[in-house]
Amino acid sequence: MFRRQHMIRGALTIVSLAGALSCTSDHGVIMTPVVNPLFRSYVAIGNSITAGFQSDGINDSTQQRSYALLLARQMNTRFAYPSLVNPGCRPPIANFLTQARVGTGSTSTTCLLRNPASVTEILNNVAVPGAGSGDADTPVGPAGSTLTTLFLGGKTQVAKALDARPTFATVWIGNNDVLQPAITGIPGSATPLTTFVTNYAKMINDLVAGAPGIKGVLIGVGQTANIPILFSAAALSNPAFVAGLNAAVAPKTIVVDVTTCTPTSTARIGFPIIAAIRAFPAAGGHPPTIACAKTATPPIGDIFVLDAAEQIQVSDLVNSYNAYIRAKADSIGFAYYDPNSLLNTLTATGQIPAVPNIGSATAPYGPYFSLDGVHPNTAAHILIANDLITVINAKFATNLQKLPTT
Amino acid sequence: MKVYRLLRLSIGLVALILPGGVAAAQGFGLNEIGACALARGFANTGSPCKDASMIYWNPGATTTLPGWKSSIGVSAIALNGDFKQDTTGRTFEQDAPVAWVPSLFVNYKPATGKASYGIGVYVPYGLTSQWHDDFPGRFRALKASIQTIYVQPNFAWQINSKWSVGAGPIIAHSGVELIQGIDLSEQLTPTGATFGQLGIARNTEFGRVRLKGDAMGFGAQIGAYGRLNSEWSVGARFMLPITFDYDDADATFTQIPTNLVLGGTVQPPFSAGTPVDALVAPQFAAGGKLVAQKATTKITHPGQVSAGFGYTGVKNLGINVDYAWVGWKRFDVLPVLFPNAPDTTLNRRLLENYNNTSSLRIGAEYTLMQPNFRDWKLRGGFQAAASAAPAETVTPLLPEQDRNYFMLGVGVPWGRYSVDASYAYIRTAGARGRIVERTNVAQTAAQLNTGVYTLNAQIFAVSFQASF
Repeated sequence: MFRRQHMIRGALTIVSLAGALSCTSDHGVIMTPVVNPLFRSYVAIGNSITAGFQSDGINDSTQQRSYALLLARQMNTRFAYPSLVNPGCRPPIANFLTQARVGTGSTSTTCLLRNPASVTEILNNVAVPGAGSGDADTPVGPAGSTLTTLFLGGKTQVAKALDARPTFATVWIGNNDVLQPAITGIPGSATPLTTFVTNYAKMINDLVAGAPGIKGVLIGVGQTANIPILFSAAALSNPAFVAGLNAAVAPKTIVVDVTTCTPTSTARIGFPIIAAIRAFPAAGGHPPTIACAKTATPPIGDIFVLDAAEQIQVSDLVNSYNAYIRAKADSIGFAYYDPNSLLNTLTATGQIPAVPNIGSATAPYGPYFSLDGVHPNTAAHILIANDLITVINAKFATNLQKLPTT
Repeated sequence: MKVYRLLRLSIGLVALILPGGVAAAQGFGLNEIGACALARGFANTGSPCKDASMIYWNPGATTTLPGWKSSIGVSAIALNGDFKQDTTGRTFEQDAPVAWVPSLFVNYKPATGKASYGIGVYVPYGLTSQWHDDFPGRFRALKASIQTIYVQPNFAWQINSKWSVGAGPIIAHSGVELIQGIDLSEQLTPTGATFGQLGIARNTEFGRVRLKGDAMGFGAQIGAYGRLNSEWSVGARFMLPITFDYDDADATFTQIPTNLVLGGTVQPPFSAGTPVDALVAPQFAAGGKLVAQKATTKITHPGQVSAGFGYTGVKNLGINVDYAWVGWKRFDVLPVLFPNAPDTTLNRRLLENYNNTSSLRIGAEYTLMQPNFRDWKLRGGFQAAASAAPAETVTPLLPEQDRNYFMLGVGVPWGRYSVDASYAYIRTAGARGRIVERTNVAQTAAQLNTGVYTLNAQIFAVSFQASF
């Protein structure tokens, strides 16, 4: 009996020992520990700014500079973006004076496809350049482009975002609803508030319905007054500035309508007027006369010109957009971020110049805007990311660390 | 003292085999052949269960079975596995049905003479891995099934009072079925770029392929058994590998709607508003690449070697220990070829790179002597088995990983009949694995693995024995 008990006990010992030796204590899971479970899956919905578009182009290098990617790094969370093969689609401008683009032989129609290594099931940055409020939740939106397909592959931004089962989202949509109308001087073509609200509500409602419990930040629309591609008409009283414009449109010569363009003029001129003058008389061109108010010979003084009344019209519309976005954020427990505080500060301190330095090859629009005068450059993306971190920490009691600004 | 020597020996074996990096293990092998053997932790070579399943466990030991012996049994294997994806945190459950593994053995040993004759029908290899339609690894395997049956006539010869040997040819039939999603992102467009480069997300299923075929194979098994004295017995067996050439498998394709609509124009015919399903539909029509056709594949069921001893020096108690080796290194590449396809883009050579494996099996059997339970058997066993698959080959096809088996069983005699019943629980700790294809050997587990597979199983087995 004694012998048998010892035998059984011994056998059990063998079994236990063998089990202990063969059990894998850990299956080697190496997961990036996010700084807060809130950020387990972060997605960024947006347009060109969020996608990482700079200097009228986008490639892997600029994509890596998006505020959304910077924010994800501070969250220590996975962030996949639809990387484009360099030099990009289309390659960014590398020299403002020559308008040369990144990559030998690149033009404004050059478009390289997705980097094969970036083809993944789940994207975190689903933003598409050009997207407006009517695009983010529509399969074929009004701003559908090559990049829409390359980035989304037949899905909508919202559907693509939901694939990631997001716990946190930033949404920056709306700038394109008003940007082109402002730059081209036709504010009446901006998305009406009612349409904007319908589009925006559908986008956010579908996002929240598809990801119960999701938190995030809704980002307001930037005022076009803070975008340096719209320069002060007063600059046309500066002969040196006009000489610079003439060099840009050569062999044509610009005629400034001095009756409307005075040193006290408050109108803002869209810089694309230069390309339009260069193209004249082809379709889409503009006569080489620049007037700073509407004239008896349209489109002179109308197209590419935002007079004081039109500026107010645009500003009021943007304020209405933002009031809705803020209310929407409040209603779903999201934070709201108004980028105009930052832009106003940069404008007030002259870091967003009222008049571009058209003699500069690398920084015509100051230290925070890229060479197209519309899109923030890398330094500005850092400021935006830091502002978002402030907003997120305040709203969600998190402790994201800010990025160094130097 | 003998008990302690036995313990020391057993512990030494465990220490020698398990932590030393010697792979031990399973792949798509099945050892659930006979409820008695299962309950004894598969430690059944050196002192096999006294029934006709010896034909598999040790063909040389069947001379110890007097008269006619038959055994019929079945094991039910219920898998419970899942995959937790890193990127989404989602857990995808397996959908494998309960697998039924039958066995049948008949043996005859004349009262006089030294020979015994028998035949066994059993399933030493098999696999069913099945997932739900939304499983992201379905492009490697939505369903993988191998159903193999070995038929082994057996002849054994008693050399003398202690030693006997046995052998038999094996005629084997194997059926294979593989269902995979087809990933649009990996397909080539007319310009040479992949659909993925045009923005189609990885794991966009636009079609599904089903391969089904069967093949015959031939092998053999030999065994030796020795009764050293009244307390110790030893045994060994060797089963040849069998290669199955599935040369005439049927491949059928089904289009799966993606419901994608291109949001912008890239290049004709990839224009804004174009439904992706319309773009790819011609591939599934006559003249397209994804139409019913023949396919071939080849799978080798590896050879096996096992050796062990049994000890009965303690009253009413038997202790069994086996060492088993399986030549899984032969499962190196799994080719899936379409010889009649217009090009070679459908062909796959799945890198498996399995390792040979070893495992330690420990079992015990206690015989009750109480009047109401006379000759009832209580059995227990344990097997520790490390994975045959390297870290970069833990896949939906077979999420192979280290396993521990814990077994219990009972044998109930009833005149010339007896019934054995057993239960086993298979536990794993989980293993990181991949859901993408490994296209070259330079790719590491760290680069490929994007989630964690867990796998547990419960096995119920029952066998009926009859003596004549």
